[in-house]
Amino acid sequence: MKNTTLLFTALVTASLAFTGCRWLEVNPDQYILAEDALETPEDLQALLISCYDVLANLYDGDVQLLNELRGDHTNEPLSNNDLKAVYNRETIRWTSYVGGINRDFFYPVLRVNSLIDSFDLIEGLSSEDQNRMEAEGKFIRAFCFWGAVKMFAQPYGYTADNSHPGIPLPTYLRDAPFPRATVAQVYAQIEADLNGAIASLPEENGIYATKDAAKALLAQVHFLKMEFEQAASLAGEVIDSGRYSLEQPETDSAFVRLRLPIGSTSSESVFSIYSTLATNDNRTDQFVQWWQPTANPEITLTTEYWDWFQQIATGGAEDSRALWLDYQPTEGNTLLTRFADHSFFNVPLIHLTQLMLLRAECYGETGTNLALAIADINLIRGRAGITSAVYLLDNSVSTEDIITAARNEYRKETLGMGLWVEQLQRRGAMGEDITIRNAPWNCPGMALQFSASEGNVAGFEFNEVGGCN
Amino acid sequence: MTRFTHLACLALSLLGTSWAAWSQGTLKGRVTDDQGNALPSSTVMAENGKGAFTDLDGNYTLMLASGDHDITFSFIGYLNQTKSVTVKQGETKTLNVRLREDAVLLNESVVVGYGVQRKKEVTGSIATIDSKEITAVQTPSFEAALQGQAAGVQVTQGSGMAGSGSIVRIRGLSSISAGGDPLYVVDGIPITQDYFAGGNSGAMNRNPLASLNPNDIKDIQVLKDAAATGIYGSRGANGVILITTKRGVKSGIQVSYGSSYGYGESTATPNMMTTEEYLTIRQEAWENDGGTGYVWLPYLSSPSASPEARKNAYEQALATNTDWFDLFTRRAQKTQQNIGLRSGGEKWSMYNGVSYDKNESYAIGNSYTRTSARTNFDWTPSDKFKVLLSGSTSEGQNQRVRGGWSGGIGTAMSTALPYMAPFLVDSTFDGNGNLAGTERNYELNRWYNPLAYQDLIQWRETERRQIATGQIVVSPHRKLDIVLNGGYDNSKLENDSYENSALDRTNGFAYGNWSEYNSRNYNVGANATLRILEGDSTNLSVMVGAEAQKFESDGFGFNLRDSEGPAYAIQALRDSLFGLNDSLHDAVSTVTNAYPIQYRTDGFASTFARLNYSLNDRYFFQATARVDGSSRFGENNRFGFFPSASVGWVASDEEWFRSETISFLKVRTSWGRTGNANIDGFSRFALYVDQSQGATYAGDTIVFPTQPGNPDLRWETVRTIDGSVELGLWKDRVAVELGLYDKLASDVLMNVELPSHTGFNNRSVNAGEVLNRGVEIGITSNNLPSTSELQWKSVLNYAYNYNELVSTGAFTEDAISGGTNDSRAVTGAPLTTYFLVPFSHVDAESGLPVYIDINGNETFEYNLEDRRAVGDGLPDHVGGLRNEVSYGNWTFSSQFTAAFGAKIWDSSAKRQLGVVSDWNMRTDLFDRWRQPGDIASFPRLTLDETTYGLPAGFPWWNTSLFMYDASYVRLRNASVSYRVPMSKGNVTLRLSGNNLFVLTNFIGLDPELTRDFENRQDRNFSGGANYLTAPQERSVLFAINANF
Repeated sequence: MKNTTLLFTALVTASLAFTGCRWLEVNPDQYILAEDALETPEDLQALLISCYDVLANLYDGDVQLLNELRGDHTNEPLSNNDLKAVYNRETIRWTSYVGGINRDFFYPVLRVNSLIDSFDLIEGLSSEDQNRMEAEGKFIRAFCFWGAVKMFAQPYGYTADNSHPGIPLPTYLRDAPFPRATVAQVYAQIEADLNGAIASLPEENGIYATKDAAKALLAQVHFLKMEFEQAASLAGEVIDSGRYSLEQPETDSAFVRLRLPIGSTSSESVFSIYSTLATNDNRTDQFVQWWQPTANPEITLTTEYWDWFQQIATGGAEDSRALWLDYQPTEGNTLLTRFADHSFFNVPLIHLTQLMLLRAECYGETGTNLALAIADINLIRGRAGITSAVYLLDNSVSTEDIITAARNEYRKETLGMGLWVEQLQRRGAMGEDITIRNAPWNCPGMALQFSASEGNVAGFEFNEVGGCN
Repeated sequence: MTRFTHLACLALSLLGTSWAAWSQGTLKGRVTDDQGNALPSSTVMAENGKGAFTDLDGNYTLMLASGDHDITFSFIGYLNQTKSVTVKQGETKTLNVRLREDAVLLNESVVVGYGVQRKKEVTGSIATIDSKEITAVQTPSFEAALQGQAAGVQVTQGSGMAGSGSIVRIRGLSSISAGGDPLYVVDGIPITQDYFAGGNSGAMNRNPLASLNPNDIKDIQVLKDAAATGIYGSRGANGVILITTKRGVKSGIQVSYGSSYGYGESTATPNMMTTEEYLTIRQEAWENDGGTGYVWLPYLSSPSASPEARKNAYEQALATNTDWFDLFTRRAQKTQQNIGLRSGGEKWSMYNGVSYDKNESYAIGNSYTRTSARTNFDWTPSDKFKVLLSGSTSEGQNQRVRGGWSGGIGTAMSTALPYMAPFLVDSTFDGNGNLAGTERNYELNRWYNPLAYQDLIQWRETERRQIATGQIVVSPHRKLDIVLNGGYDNSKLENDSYENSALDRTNGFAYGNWSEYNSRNYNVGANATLRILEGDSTNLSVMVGAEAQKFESDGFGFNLRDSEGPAYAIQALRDSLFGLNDSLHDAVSTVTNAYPIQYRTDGFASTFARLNYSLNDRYFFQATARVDGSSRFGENNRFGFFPSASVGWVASDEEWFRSETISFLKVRTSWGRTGNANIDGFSRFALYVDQSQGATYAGDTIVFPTQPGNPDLRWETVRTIDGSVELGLWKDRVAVELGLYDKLASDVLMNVELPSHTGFNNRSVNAGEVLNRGVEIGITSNNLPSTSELQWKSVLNYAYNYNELVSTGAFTEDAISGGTNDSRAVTGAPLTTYFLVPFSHVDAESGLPVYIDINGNETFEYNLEDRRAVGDGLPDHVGGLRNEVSYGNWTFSSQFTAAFGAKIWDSSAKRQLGVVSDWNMRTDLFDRWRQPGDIASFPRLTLDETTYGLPAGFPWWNTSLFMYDASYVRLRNASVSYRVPMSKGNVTLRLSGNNLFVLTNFIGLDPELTRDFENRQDRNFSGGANYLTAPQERSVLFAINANF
């Protein structure tokens, strides 16, 4: 029995040793472990580029369309329930299209925070590259915060001290979720990020963010904050840099694709997203899908918009921007045709025309540099083929006329890019009597509802639903 | 009396009685079971110790001195029977005996994890299901045959589609995101059970158990409590199903042959509307909404069309009335052949089995064909050394069709409108809907034609699976057994589909897809049992062991264009695809894309021990402990410890115990912790998408985080307390087992959806608690005296289970997205709870739906914030009743199954009975409100969802109007069989029917349903949800079984 016991003990020991502990060590080959992912400066650069990648997914027509639907340019979407909910200002936590956009805005934020958190761990990273990457990261983070706060919160000026809820503001890595910051805090963070970006971004950076892009974005932020002087100043720095020029299309067909080139960068572009035909990487899907002028288009412009386009002083047949529109009297709607059958174009998110009109309106608001404002407006009208002096501003026009003209041009030039509704909200916050499709500019449903996922940890404050119709 | 004692007595009697041969008579006869099946090696013993064994055919011959004798017949697992007989000198007398199964089965061997125990000494809760119960019912897969067979084992059959799998739950459901299925162990080796290898393509999940041949199974043990499952530690929390396959015999050859043929059809036909009915309903909705003239019709007119155009469309629609369900269904044929050969010699034994089973479903084009072979070989060169080898290979070929949301029958119940014609209107057809003389001329331009998408798509899934196990048992000492074992489970799942070019209306391309998914599962282990004390009064043994398991899966696929057919039909294409990898795919001109299937792997390493102690053969104690390590868990919690302890007391063996009624009484109780590790192997890792995957932006490579890590991820742990009483009544004619249990799962694995602003989508965490608490009763009764020619045996089981999600930890209920069918986690309610706006009634004046708001007040306003827990898909009560009545050579049997207390959420009824849309509707809708004063089940018809208070553009009417009682009683199986009288062997003819009827209040197709699932969590949560799910199958089979 003694031998038996010994054998028994030996067997057990051998069995335990035999147990395949090595089988406990596995590696997910198709992915890379986080600890191995960021080891070189090139890895960090690839992480940074992934942020642009998400921006390109967000602004491939998605964000632009949702903001158009919140405004007063379109009819109710034909069939898509989520788009209808946006149009009707009745988005709920389960409006999945909107929830997806909500989520997409924060992917780059996580990545930028990871980037900044990783600098100390990377060998061979030059201070120059680190400063540039951090600046680009902050530009992207600001772009996302700003894009999100405009859609998911009431606008700046909704409350006197902007203490109304904005968006969560994750500016560093942590496991615990962040609460919604106030709009004032969000704008402060955006400004801080952009100032940091301006300080370190290069003037030339290929297709990626530059010092001008950060300045131009900050100009827009100041503009919505009704800080016209700062806005005009920053916009002016970019406009006057000499690096950008107005496109001057020579044919109607070229005008239809104004600022939407394939395979090149618009001379007006301060910051764009890019499609790459060679790799079949198309970042214009949503423009094409929703605006395509089929027999039953999902998105159409209202007759009111067409009427406005026709009636304003600079409207009429000689305005080349009419080439973007296809008025269909029998159907009672208007089609926006500039995206029709046009894929793989590059989308300028910040461009010269926009900055010129922004600055012009700022000058109108401050009553300064009116001649420059008038000249800029006339340049843009002239580019649209408006040659009659009747439709061009002369130097005797009032500041109100300048503001109105700048706004009208802005509305025309940015049609389809989702940039009009924020101007209406700004004007509402400035005290104008603004209604958007018969609802006040600040009705609850104008702020899109957050994704239901935000409520997965107790305490999140959701927006009020509806209340606009 | 043990068999050894019998043998000893027999030997003595043979030696001692030869002198009296001259005054002998002869007694001979046959020993069989209730149903006349031979019981070979039964003992036939006279009162004076003279005895004999029966041969393979149950026959015996016994020489007896002339005079009166009491002859006792016995066989393990059966009640002894003693007959008085008088034998005269020189007389040959015949005495045939039928033995009846012992309801208590004290001495039956029960397979437990890593060993075998006598049933008497088992301290855990284990149910045994014999092979004949498994093969008696025609099922697409063996696990469906477990339904109603054991208390606490809830089986929900899959749909009637061929190869569909069932959901098996043992003592409720404890898991949220981790798999809730039991662990399946074949001949000691845990097998691969991946239900999502093929996703839910075609609205059906893969059934990993379908390739196992039920005819190879000897018996199945279901381990239910911690005392039984504790030895499986981290994987025992959902119960363990031990499958033991047949082995050879000790000598001679036994041949069994089985053949069956039958047909099947749908248990129910959906009551979809005809064209005239649909148009009437639609017209009424239009007019209710204020429309004038004819209603517009999907595909034929539009809301803005002129009145004349709408009228023309309406009249055009009336010309067609397509019964889509009928186009997709048929009477299916089924055939099965199997041969088993059991052989053996002095030192070896072998089982060989082959089977072929072609099982068509009632869905046209759908079948599952399984071809399998098995060899189990045992070699025992000495009593100290034994080798057991088992190997099986099978091919399961599933000829697939689309279903549910994906097409086929599902479309016939939804978007296939009755005025849509499947064929071009200028075609002429024969009586079967075939275009006379030519190919079918499908309508492909005006609408989605589901019939074309069925007929013009060829789709086959083929699984080839090999399971091999081996054991070496060494007994160097009479007190020590050492077992070395290994196992290999290899599966190759080939998915092959081809779409005819006619379906591509734009380019005319024929598209194909071919992929293979491979999984490999390796097991190695060793254990040793040392019987430290062996005596009449005290026994002590210890088993210790270790094992390791590694799982791997990978695969790849190809998209093809303009092949001439599916790869399975074109040998040359198939040859070229096999062995191809990413870099070589250009060699095949029709391959347009090659893609890898994610490589997955995980491993387990475990040590375990079991201690058994018994005193006076009536006090039993067992303790188990297992330490498991798993690659699935974070580095901070890589190892888990799972103990259990149990005691049993056979009170009826106490000297003071006296009872005429109670012949056996055993009380046992157990406590233990087990675990659940059934999650994705990579959940714990913090992961980035690698540059190697080729993701770029503007030509520049990108890298980004995709999954947050969780180094603390650990086992889901279930603490179980069990208490049971086993009773044998009236000399064990009746056995009763009553069990109580309490299971509390903690650290429940949850794949929570993270707030959007975190930048991640999901994360696996341990949080929350789930409680299961229940009662089980099992009764086996031999209802008539054993001497009666008429025999009647009843087996009843019943279980009640209370299920509650106790907590979701730090996360809100919303973090657990629940199933895809409006079921979700609600604390204080069962898992699978439906979260809906309560529906009250239809307002008699306005015809509008009246809801109940969150404060309990009636309201016309439909508000998602008013949703609450209104029911759940888990039955409270499940049970089964089997009856067998034998008379002479005839046996009648029936099996009823029942479930009560669950609710069905009929998600597709939202469209079939809700807002009138582009779905066909069910005739239940005729009971709708039409005018003030009407009391109706359904509100006024409308084409506009806002009529019912739904938000514009949000037609998903999540109201309890479409939640139904899922209680049912089903005649699962009924059969009549006749045993052909034969002197050698036996032949049995059997006619059986399955799913013959169901009693239910459910107004849909079938209250027992299993839809397709997206993932493990969905499978846990959506068990009671219906979405265009195909009904069950009713089948009738004729079978012949022969044993020689």
